[in-house]
Amino acid sequence: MLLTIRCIPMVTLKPIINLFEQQKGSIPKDKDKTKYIIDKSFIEAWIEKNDDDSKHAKVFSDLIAFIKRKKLPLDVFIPIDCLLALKKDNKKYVENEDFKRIISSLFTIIEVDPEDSDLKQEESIKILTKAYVTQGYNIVIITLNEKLYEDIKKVSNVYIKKPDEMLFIIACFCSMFPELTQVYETWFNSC
Amino acid sequence: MAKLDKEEWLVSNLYDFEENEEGNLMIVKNETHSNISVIKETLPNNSITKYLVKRLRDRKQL
Repeated sequence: MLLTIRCIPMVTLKPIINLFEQQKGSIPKDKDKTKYIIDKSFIEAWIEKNDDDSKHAKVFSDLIAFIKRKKLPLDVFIPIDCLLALKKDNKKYVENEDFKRIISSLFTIIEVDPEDSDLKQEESIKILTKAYVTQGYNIVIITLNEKLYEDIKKVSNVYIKKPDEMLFIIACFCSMFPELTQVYETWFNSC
Repeated sequence: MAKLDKEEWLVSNLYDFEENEEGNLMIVKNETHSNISVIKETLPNNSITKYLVKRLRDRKQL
């Protein structure tokens, strides 16, 4: 589904939110029992790329800053193995101190298995997902590489979403923060 | 070596997020060993992403 918030007055956000809520397989509605996990492909999209999915990764990350400012609960995890995988890919920005501080400030970096330093990033995400699902949480994995997670997609309460499918969450928060709508528009500014 | 690689991500001096008088988003950098706020920077277009990408480009790390 391709829906954008651009050029839509704030008063019309509610129908968009309702539409997303009615979609089968949409993001879980119980926000208190939902945690989000991002992977290597999300970071690459956020920092390096500029297509529509990547722009949604950017606006989702910008959203997290707004949520932090308002002290609202929204847990977004990234396993440390995803960052090590970026380093192995020789991404220069992974060494940058601002990058380290910002990613640590926005997201919760988690060490899934302290005993295993060579864990594949997708495996660490699957381990983390299973651990939280066992505790009764819904897990939303945000990725541009859905194929990596096809096996775990069959587990109940696990949702594999591309960044543009997070528009539901962004729309919900845009209805709370008008500034966030302006941020969204700067990424999708072809009104 | 890999253990050291992991430790570099255990950052303790995180940014706080505040807003200025105009309601624009700012990051607050705190001194590592105190609670005194030393630098506050307003984010361009309220976007932490734009701030970060500019820093990375300036340092030719992107």
